[in-house]
Amino acid sequence: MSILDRKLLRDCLRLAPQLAAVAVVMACGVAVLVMSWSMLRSLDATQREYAKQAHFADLFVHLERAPESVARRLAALEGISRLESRVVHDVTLDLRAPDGQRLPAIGRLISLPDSDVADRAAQLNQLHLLQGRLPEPGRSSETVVGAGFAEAHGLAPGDHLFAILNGRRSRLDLVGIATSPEYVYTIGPSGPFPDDRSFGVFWMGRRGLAAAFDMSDAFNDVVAAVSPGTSLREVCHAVDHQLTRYGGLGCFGREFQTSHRYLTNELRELRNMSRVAPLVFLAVTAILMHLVVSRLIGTQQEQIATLAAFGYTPLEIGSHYVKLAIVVLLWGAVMGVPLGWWLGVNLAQMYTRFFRFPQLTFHLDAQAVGWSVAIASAAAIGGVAQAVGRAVRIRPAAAMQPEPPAVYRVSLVERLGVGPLLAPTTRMMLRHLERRPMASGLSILGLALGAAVMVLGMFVGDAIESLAEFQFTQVQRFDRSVAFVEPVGRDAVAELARLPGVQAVEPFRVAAATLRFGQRERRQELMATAADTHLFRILDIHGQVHQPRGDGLIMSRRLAELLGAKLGDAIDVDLLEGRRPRTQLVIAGLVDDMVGTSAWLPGDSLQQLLNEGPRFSGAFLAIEDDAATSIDTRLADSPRVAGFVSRQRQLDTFRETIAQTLLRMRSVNTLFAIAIACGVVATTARQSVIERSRDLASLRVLGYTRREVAAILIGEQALLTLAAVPLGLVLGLGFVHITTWGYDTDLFRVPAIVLPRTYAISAATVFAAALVTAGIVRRLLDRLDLVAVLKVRD
Amino acid sequence: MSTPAAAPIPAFVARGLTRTYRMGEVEVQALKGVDLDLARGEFVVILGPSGSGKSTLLNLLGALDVPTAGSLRFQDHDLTVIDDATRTAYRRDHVGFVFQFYNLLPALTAAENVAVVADIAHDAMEPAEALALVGLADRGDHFPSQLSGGEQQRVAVARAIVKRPEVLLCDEPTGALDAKTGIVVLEALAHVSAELGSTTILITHNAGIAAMADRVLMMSNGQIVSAEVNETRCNPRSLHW
Repeated sequence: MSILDRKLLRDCLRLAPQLAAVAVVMACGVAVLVMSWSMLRSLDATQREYAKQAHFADLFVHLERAPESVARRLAALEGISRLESRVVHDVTLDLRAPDGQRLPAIGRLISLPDSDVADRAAQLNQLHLLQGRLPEPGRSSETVVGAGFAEAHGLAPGDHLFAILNGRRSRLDLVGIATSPEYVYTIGPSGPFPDDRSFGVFWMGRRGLAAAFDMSDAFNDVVAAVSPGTSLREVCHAVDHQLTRYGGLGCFGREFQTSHRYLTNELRELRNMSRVAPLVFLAVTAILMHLVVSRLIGTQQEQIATLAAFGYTPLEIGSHYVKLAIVVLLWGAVMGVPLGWWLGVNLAQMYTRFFRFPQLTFHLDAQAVGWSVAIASAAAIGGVAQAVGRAVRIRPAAAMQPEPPAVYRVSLVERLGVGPLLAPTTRMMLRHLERRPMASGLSILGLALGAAVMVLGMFVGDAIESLAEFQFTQVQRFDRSVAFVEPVGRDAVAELARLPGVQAVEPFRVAAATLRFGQRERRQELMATAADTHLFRILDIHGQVHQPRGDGLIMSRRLAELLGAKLGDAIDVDLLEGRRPRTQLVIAGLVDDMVGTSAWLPGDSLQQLLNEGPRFSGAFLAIEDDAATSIDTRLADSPRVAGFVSRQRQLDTFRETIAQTLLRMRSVNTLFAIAIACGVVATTARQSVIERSRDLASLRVLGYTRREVAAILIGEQALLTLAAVPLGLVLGLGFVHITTWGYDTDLFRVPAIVLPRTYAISAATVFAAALVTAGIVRRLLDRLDLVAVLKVRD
Repeated sequence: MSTPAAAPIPAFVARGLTRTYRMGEVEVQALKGVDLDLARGEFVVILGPSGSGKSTLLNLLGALDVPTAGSLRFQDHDLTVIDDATRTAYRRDHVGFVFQFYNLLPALTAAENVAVVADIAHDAMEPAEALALVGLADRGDHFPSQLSGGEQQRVAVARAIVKRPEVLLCDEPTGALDAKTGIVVLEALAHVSAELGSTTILITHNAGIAAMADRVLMMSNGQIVSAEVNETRCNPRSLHW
């Protein structure tokens, strides 16, 4: 070991607490980078691999009903390499709580091809059995259940449950538990959040299921794989053309397949997360490195000059200090990579609650580790660059001259006229902070970034709160949302209204449509309600309630953006029901909503377009609490009702699943924010103690008590903190805006609203970190060796 | 019958004063059982080479350090067993310090450096008055970086005497100064110590300073090896080295 390296080692030991604080902050940055990049790659690879292995279809279409011969025609279309017709039906499940209360739950029954074993290997959307087996041909009650629903209800092969199939209560015998590439992320018809308790997917033999729904030799759903190099758009148009007369609801590619879309969305969010937070950590690392090393070089000017006098080259001197940054880097990486790995493993575990892959394993990605360390290196070395540049410019002659007293001047605050009111110690504080604007500014920025990360972390909670409040209390105000098997007339609605305990019924009509503007088109359900609805409101995040009027279309702003249209534009609307009328509707209102994309028009307009009388696809109910059980039972038993959901249950599930997961992520963020705040305060405070030890020891000798001396440094820290917190809150809001751009998808839009509570807690955390550090400062000052300090020339 | 001369009032009384430092494996006895009586208002110069124990003695007198054995009293204060808070209070109330390297606070002007002590003292003079006593009435607004070494040390003297201390402890006050400037500082010290009647202890390598003292103690190897009383005290202006 060279002599300079030995000096480096001793400097490191002496500066260990500060370097450790920097290393911890760096470790947080490295950990978030390693976790998010590795997770991104793991998830991306898993998604691709699973899609490939399970032969995930490229094309999907649902229709009313078509004879099997049509499927053969479709399979012969150019570009289609394999096509499977299916029978798919949503049914009401007859589930009961232990107390006998009916639980609202919908099951999606999907037929499995009754093909021979040899053909199974080529089948699309292959199930991956986690337990049990596939249904035996000819055994119509045998059913495979999706993993999420099985887990939520503690189901295992050998169990059974009942469902209402086409008005008949039928027994489903569970023989297996499986995952499917089509339902990696399972969203029920009532969406937009996953709810494994009230929605499950079931696979049964084709023959039995077709028989139950009078679909023998017919189908109502198609999945297909297209040959490589084929235009999906063209194939879809050809399929749509064939299915028009069979009630085809529009062909769409994987891109619009619900599960695939959510997964892609999650990947985008991860990518987004891997951008903001690590950069903050690494910026703070660079700032702290700068503070520590520039001070070290400041105190070692004489030593550097002496080394230069002895003939050490600027390169040798410079690399000596760069090595200090490398030590911190190694330290940060050694802590950060395992931390990132650990966080990743935990995140993967959380993901398995929502994303049902056969296996989701977090793999520490070598490239992610490499990049994280490279970026951290840039931060560490970038942080010390300026100070090292100063070190290599020190001339040997400097060693021979005593350092003059530090140059101070009257501070700005004093010049404003309040000087005479301030105690000498207060003036010391102000002048010290003002004398080194760069160091003070960086300390403020570092602390502010701590507060900002805290705001960003806490914002997740705010976003959940706003989303839950907006969606489940402002928009949806019903107690039950009922979907009918097929559109019904006024009599069925009146029947619902007559159920004991039903206070209000607001029927609605939903019709599938293709909206087209210029070259862009999009499949979208149109929703029509009566003019004065209360149980479901078209509300934007600014609190404005919209009412569809005339024949104008109201739509999510996001939908208009996707179509490239604006207010007042006329949109081509192809309805996919009845006689499939085509029309043009003008955009009469744009709504800034938070979930999905929607389009509304007045009930009578839709009726006119469809050329039908009052027909309803479903209804929102307001009910008395104590009538809930009997109403649920009646709904579940009604042959007209395809399914129903309870708003309260949706909200509960939302809170228990998504909210809990996000909140757990929030606590990780909070810990990181505290690490930053403590790292910055501890480093700057320790630096101050070292820098000012001579002044403070002088004061102690002159008769100042420990408390009075500590008050000077703590006062300085308090001033820095006071300046940093407002800046941090503003920066935090900025980070929130950057982050919400990433969340601005057609699935969710989270407004950049930060609750006052978040600001308060973020500020309080930074103050608390400062307070803890004040304690450390006090301890350091208590250990100040008065005699030794006074003997040393400044 | 002749009346006996009034007995000097004791300020410090030390008996068997010992200070031992442990440096790794080795024990170093910096003071070896020193007996010492200092009278109120006395001006004492302690001479001795490096390592003779004079700084250790000064640190004990200033309650910056505590003895390992022996007793040390300042008037009715026992300086051997007191806790940190009491030692701080002792320094605050009774002692003025002047250091070799001035130890001014660079962030404060000359007047403010003096005020820093005046603010926490009971019966302090105005900082301007203290600066006038050391001949720096017109330099109060200057920061240390704007003052010469001699001026900085005179500010340090003004800071030490602003609270009218009973004890003035000076550690090599001219050590970092040339002779001419050093003499200006010593003049200031002699002037204020006479004016205030402070017991003044000045430690130095510089034997040339001895003539301005009432008494000169010579230290070597942790002990006082000789004590001389000057019949007449020289004016610092007549000193040279």
